[in-house]
Amino acid sequence: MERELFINHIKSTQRAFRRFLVALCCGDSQLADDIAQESYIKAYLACDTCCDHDKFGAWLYRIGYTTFLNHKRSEKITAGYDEARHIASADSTDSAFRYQELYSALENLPAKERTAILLFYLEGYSVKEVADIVDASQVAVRQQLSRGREHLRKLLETTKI
Amino acid sequence: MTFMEDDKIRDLFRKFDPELSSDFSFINKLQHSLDAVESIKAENAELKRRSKKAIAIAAAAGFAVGALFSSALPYIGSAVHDMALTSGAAVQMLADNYLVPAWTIIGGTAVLTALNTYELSLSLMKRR
Repeated sequence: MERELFINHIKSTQRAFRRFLVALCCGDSQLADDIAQESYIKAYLACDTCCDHDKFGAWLYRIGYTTFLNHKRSEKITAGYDEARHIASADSTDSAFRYQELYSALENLPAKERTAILLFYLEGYSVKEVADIVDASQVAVRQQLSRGREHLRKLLETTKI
Repeated sequence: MTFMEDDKIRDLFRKFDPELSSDFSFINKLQHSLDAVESIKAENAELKRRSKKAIAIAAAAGFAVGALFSSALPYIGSAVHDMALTSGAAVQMLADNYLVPAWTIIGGTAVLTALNTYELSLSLMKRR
Protein backbone atom coordinates (compact mmCIF):
# COMPACT_ATOMS: atom_id res chain seq x y z
CA MET A 1 0.00 0.00 0.00
CA GLU A 2 1.38 3.40 -0.91
CA ARG A 3 1.87 6.05 1.72
CA GLU A 4 -0.77 8.44 0.36
CA LEU A 5 -3.34 5.67 0.25
CA PHE A 6 -2.36 4.58 3.75
CA ILE A 7 -2.67 8.13 5.15
CA ASN A 8 -6.02 8.65 3.45
CA HIS A 9 -7.30 5.42 4.93
CA ILE A 10 -6.01 6.44 8.37
CA LYS A 11 -7.59 9.89 8.11
CA SER A 12 -11.00 8.38 7.54
CA THR A 13 -10.79 5.73 10.26
CA GLN A 14 -8.49 7.09 12.98
CA ARG A 15 -11.20 8.59 15.21
CA ALA A 16 -12.99 5.27 15.68
CA PHE A 17 -9.70 3.49 16.30
CA ARG A 18 -8.56 6.08 18.85
CA ARG A 19 -11.95 6.03 20.57
CA PHE A 20 -11.61 2.23 20.91
CA LEU A 21 -8.11 2.62 22.35
CA VAL A 22 -9.21 5.33 24.80
CA ALA A 23 -11.84 2.90 26.13
CA LEU A 24 -9.31 0.06 26.15
CA CYS A 25 -6.88 2.24 28.13
CA CYS A 26 -9.73 3.19 30.49
CA GLY A 27 -9.67 6.89 29.63
CA ASP A 28 -5.93 7.44 29.35
CA SER A 29 -6.07 9.32 26.06
CA GLN A 30 -2.34 10.06 26.02
CA LEU A 31 -1.49 6.37 26.23
CA ALA A 32 -4.23 5.60 23.69
CA ASP A 33 -2.67 8.09 21.25
CA ASP A 34 0.78 6.57 21.80
CA ILE A 35 -0.57 3.07 21.13
CA ALA A 36 -2.44 4.35 18.06
CA GLN A 37 0.73 5.95 16.67
CA GLU A 38 2.76 2.81 17.35
CA SER A 39 0.07 0.61 15.78
CA TYR A 40 -0.09 2.75 12.65
CA ILE A 41 3.67 2.62 12.23
CA LYS A 42 3.64 -1.16 12.69
CA ALA A 43 0.80 -1.39 10.18
CA TYR A 44 2.65 0.82 7.71
CA LEU A 45 5.77 -1.33 7.97
CA ALA A 46 3.79 -4.54 7.52
CA CYS A 47 0.99 -3.36 5.23
CA ASP A 48 2.41 -5.36 2.32
CA THR A 49 1.54 -8.53 4.23
CA CYS A 50 -2.12 -7.49 4.50
CA CYS A 51 -3.21 -7.69 0.89
CA ASP A 52 -6.95 -7.86 1.63
CA HIS A 53 -8.15 -4.26 1.68
CA ASP A 54 -11.51 -5.23 3.22
CA LYS A 55 -9.84 -6.81 6.22
CA PHE A 56 -7.46 -3.89 6.80
CA GLY A 57 -9.62 -2.46 9.60
CA ALA A 58 -9.79 -5.71 11.56
CA TRP A 59 -6.08 -6.28 10.97
CA LEU A 60 -5.35 -2.81 12.36
CA TYR A 61 -7.43 -3.50 15.47
CA ARG A 62 -5.44 -6.68 15.96
CA ILE A 63 -2.21 -4.71 15.83
CA GLY A 64 -3.69 -2.17 18.26
CA TYR A 65 -4.75 -4.94 20.64
CA THR A 66 -1.31 -6.63 20.63
CA THR A 67 0.42 -3.27 21.04
CA PHE A 68 -1.84 -2.55 24.01
CA LEU A 69 -0.99 -5.95 25.52
CA ASN A 70 2.73 -5.25 25.05
CA HIS A 71 2.34 -1.93 26.84
CA LYS A 72 0.40 -3.64 29.57
CA ARG A 73 3.06 -6.29 29.95
CA SER A 74 5.75 -3.67 30.26
CA GLU A 75 3.68 -2.32 33.17
CA LYS A 76 3.69 1.21 31.85
CA ILE A 77 -0.05 1.04 31.84
CA THR A 78 -0.56 0.03 35.47
CA ALA A 79 1.36 2.99 36.75
CA GLY A 80 -0.40 5.18 34.23
CA TYR A 81 -4.00 4.53 35.24
CA ASP A 82 -4.00 6.43 38.48
CA GLU A 83 -1.67 9.09 37.16
CA ALA A 84 -3.91 9.66 34.15
CA ARG A 85 -6.91 9.89 36.40
CA HIS A 86 -5.22 12.56 38.48
CA ILE A 87 -4.26 14.51 35.37
CA ALA A 88 -7.82 14.21 34.14
CA SER A 89 -9.05 15.43 37.48
CA ALA A 90 -6.73 18.39 37.25
CA ASP A 91 -8.31 19.29 33.92
CA SER A 92 -11.63 19.23 35.75
CA THR A 93 -13.67 19.46 32.56
CA ASP A 94 -17.08 17.83 32.30
CA SER A 95 -15.86 15.61 29.49
CA ALA A 96 -13.04 14.28 31.66
CA PHE A 97 -15.58 13.01 34.21
CA ARG A 98 -18.36 12.09 31.81
CA TYR A 99 -17.16 8.52 31.35
CA GLN A 100 -15.44 8.01 34.69
CA GLU A 101 -17.87 5.29 35.83
CA LEU A 102 -17.56 3.53 32.50
CA TYR A 103 -13.76 3.69 32.66
CA SER A 104 -13.80 2.34 36.22
CA ALA A 105 -16.01 -0.54 35.14
CA LEU A 106 -13.81 -1.27 32.13
CA GLU A 107 -10.72 -1.14 34.32
CA ASN A 108 -12.20 -3.90 36.46
CA LEU A 109 -12.59 -6.15 33.44
CA PRO A 110 -9.65 -8.36 32.42
CA ALA A 111 -7.99 -7.15 29.21
CA LYS A 112 -9.47 -9.97 27.09
CA GLU A 113 -13.03 -9.36 28.26
CA ARG A 114 -12.63 -5.62 27.89
CA THR A 115 -11.34 -5.99 24.35
CA ALA A 116 -14.11 -8.40 23.39
CA ILE A 117 -16.79 -6.12 24.85
CA LEU A 118 -15.38 -3.03 23.13
CA LEU A 119 -14.93 -4.67 19.75
CA PHE A 120 -18.40 -6.16 19.89
CA TYR A 121 -20.41 -3.27 21.36
CA LEU A 122 -18.35 -0.20 20.49
CA GLU A 123 -17.00 -1.18 17.08
CA GLY A 124 -19.80 -3.51 16.05
CA TYR A 125 -17.65 -6.47 15.04
CA SER A 126 -19.24 -9.92 14.92
CA VAL A 127 -18.13 -12.71 17.27
CA LYS A 128 -16.18 -14.32 14.42
CA GLU A 129 -14.40 -11.06 13.61
CA VAL A 130 -13.62 -10.45 17.30
CA ALA A 131 -12.22 -13.99 17.51
CA ASP A 132 -9.98 -13.26 14.51
CA ILE A 133 -8.77 -9.97 16.00
CA VAL A 134 -7.95 -11.30 19.46
CA ASP A 135 -6.70 -14.62 18.08
CA ALA A 136 -9.10 -16.76 20.11
CA SER A 137 -11.86 -19.27 19.34
CA GLN A 138 -15.44 -18.10 18.89
CA VAL A 139 -16.44 -20.10 21.98
CA ALA A 140 -13.81 -18.27 24.05
CA VAL A 141 -15.00 -14.89 22.74
CA ARG A 142 -18.63 -15.76 23.58
CA GLN A 143 -17.52 -16.63 27.12
CA GLN A 144 -15.55 -13.40 27.40
CA LEU A 145 -18.56 -11.42 26.18
CA SER A 146 -20.84 -13.21 28.60
CA ARG A 147 -18.54 -12.56 31.56
CA GLY A 148 -17.94 -8.97 30.46
CA ARG A 149 -21.69 -8.34 30.15
CA GLU A 150 -22.19 -9.76 33.62
CA HIS A 151 -19.59 -7.38 35.03
CA LEU A 152 -21.14 -4.43 33.21
CA ARG A 153 -24.59 -5.47 34.38
CA LYS A 154 -23.39 -5.06 37.96
CA LEU A 155 -22.12 -1.61 37.03
CA LEU A 156 -25.47 -0.72 35.51
CA GLU A 157 -27.15 -1.75 38.74
CA THR A 158 -24.83 0.24 41.00
CA THR A 159 -24.33 3.43 39.01
CA LYS A 160 -27.59 3.54 37.03
CA ILE A 161 -25.81 4.95 33.98
CA MET B 1 -28.78 -10.99 30.93
CA THR B 2 -32.01 -9.80 29.40
CA PHE B 3 -32.32 -8.17 25.99
CA MET B 4 -33.17 -4.92 27.76
CA GLU B 5 -29.86 -4.99 29.64
CA ASP B 6 -28.05 -5.90 26.45
CA ASP B 7 -29.64 -2.86 24.82
CA LYS B 8 -28.52 -0.73 27.77
CA ILE B 9 -24.91 -1.78 27.14
CA ARG B 10 -25.27 -1.08 23.43
CA ASP B 11 -26.75 2.31 24.28
CA LEU B 12 -23.92 3.00 26.74
CA PHE B 13 -21.34 2.52 23.99
CA ARG B 14 -23.41 4.24 21.33
CA LYS B 15 -23.21 7.43 23.38
CA PHE B 16 -19.50 6.95 24.01
CA ASP B 17 -17.70 9.89 22.41
CA PRO B 18 -14.58 10.79 24.43
CA GLU B 19 -12.63 13.96 23.83
CA LEU B 20 -9.67 13.14 21.58
CA SER B 21 -6.62 15.22 20.75
CA SER B 22 -6.89 17.18 17.49
CA ASP B 23 -6.96 15.10 14.31
CA PHE B 24 -4.54 17.49 12.64
CA SER B 25 -1.84 17.15 15.31
CA PHE B 26 -2.34 13.38 15.47
CA ILE B 27 -1.94 12.96 11.69
CA ASN B 28 0.92 15.46 11.68
CA LYS B 29 2.76 13.47 14.34
CA LEU B 30 2.13 10.27 12.39
CA GLN B 31 3.46 11.87 9.19
CA HIS B 32 6.66 12.84 11.05
CA SER B 33 7.04 9.30 12.39
CA LEU B 34 6.49 7.87 8.91
CA ASP B 35 9.13 10.27 7.55
CA ALA B 36 11.57 8.91 10.13
CA VAL B 37 10.57 5.34 9.24
CA GLU B 38 11.10 6.08 5.52
CA SER B 39 14.52 7.57 6.17
CA ILE B 40 15.57 4.56 8.29
CA LYS B 41 14.22 2.21 5.62
CA ALA B 42 16.19 4.07 2.92
CA GLU B 43 19.32 3.97 5.07
CA ASN B 44 18.91 0.24 5.66
CA ALA B 45 18.38 -0.39 1.96
CA GLU B 46 21.53 1.60 1.18
CA LEU B 47 23.49 -0.37 3.81
CA LYS B 48 22.21 -3.62 2.32
CA ARG B 49 23.19 -2.51 -1.18
CA ARG B 50 26.68 -1.50 0.01
CA SER B 51 27.07 -4.76 1.91
CA LYS B 52 26.10 -6.80 -1.18
CA LYS B 53 28.58 -4.85 -3.29
CA ALA B 54 31.32 -5.35 -0.67
CA ILE B 55 30.57 -9.09 -0.53
CA ALA B 56 30.88 -9.33 -4.32
CA ILE B 57 34.20 -7.43 -4.32
CA ALA B 58 35.52 -9.52 -1.41
CA ALA B 59 34.54 -12.79 -3.12
CA ALA B 60 36.24 -11.67 -6.33
CA ALA B 61 39.39 -10.64 -4.45
CA GLY B 62 39.45 -13.92 -2.49
CA PHE B 63 38.95 -15.93 -5.65
CA ALA B 64 41.67 -13.97 -7.50
CA VAL B 65 44.21 -14.50 -4.72
CA GLY B 66 43.26 -18.18 -4.45
CA ALA B 67 43.58 -18.66 -8.22
CA LEU B 68 46.93 -16.82 -8.32
CA PHE B 69 48.45 -18.95 -5.57
CA SER B 70 46.95 -22.13 -7.03
CA SER B 71 48.51 -21.42 -10.40
CA ALA B 72 51.84 -20.89 -8.64
CA LEU B 73 51.56 -24.21 -6.78
CA PRO B 74 53.52 -26.33 -9.33
CA TYR B 75 56.41 -23.84 -9.18
CA ILE B 76 56.33 -23.92 -5.36
CA GLY B 77 56.33 -27.74 -5.54
CA SER B 78 59.36 -27.91 -7.76
CA ALA B 79 61.18 -25.34 -5.61
CA VAL B 80 60.51 -27.42 -2.49
CA HIS B 81 61.74 -30.58 -4.24
CA ASP B 82 64.90 -28.79 -5.36
CA MET B 83 65.49 -27.68 -1.81
CA ALA B 84 64.93 -31.22 -0.54
CA LEU B 85 67.68 -32.60 -2.76
CA THR B 86 70.27 -30.51 -0.96
CA SER B 87 68.75 -30.65 2.54
CA GLY B 88 68.13 -33.16 5.24
CA ALA B 89 65.45 -35.75 5.91
CA ALA B 90 63.03 -33.27 7.50
CA VAL B 91 62.83 -31.13 4.37
CA GLN B 92 62.60 -34.28 2.27
CA MET B 93 59.53 -35.36 4.28
CA LEU B 94 58.01 -31.92 3.83
CA ALA B 95 58.65 -32.07 0.10
CA ASP B 96 56.82 -35.39 -0.13
CA ASN B 97 53.78 -34.10 1.77
CA TYR B 98 53.74 -30.41 0.81
CA LEU B 99 50.29 -30.43 -0.87
CA VAL B 100 48.09 -30.44 2.24
CA PRO B 101 49.85 -27.55 4.03
CA ALA B 102 50.17 -25.67 0.73
CA TRP B 103 46.41 -25.86 0.04
CA THR B 104 45.69 -24.91 3.65
CA ILE B 105 47.89 -21.82 3.33
CA ILE B 106 46.30 -20.92 -0.03
CA GLY B 107 42.78 -21.33 1.40
CA GLY B 108 43.63 -19.31 4.50
CA THR B 109 45.19 -16.53 2.47
CA ALA B 110 42.17 -16.37 0.15
CA VAL B 111 39.76 -16.18 3.11
CA LEU B 112 41.83 -13.53 4.90
CA THR B 113 42.07 -11.49 1.71
CA ALA B 114 38.30 -11.73 1.20
CA LEU B 115 37.58 -10.65 4.80
CA ASN B 116 39.97 -7.71 4.65
CA THR B 117 38.69 -6.64 1.25
CA TYR B 118 35.13 -6.73 2.60
CA GLU B 119 36.02 -4.45 5.52
CA LEU B 120 38.10 -2.16 3.31
CA SER B 121 35.47 -1.80 0.58
CA LEU B 122 32.74 -1.17 3.17
CA SER B 123 34.74 1.60 4.81
CA LEU B 124 35.64 3.12 1.42
CA MET B 125 31.98 3.10 0.34
CA LYS B 126 30.92 4.72 3.63
CA ARG B 127 33.40 7.57 3.08
CA ARG B 128 31.93 8.35 -0.33
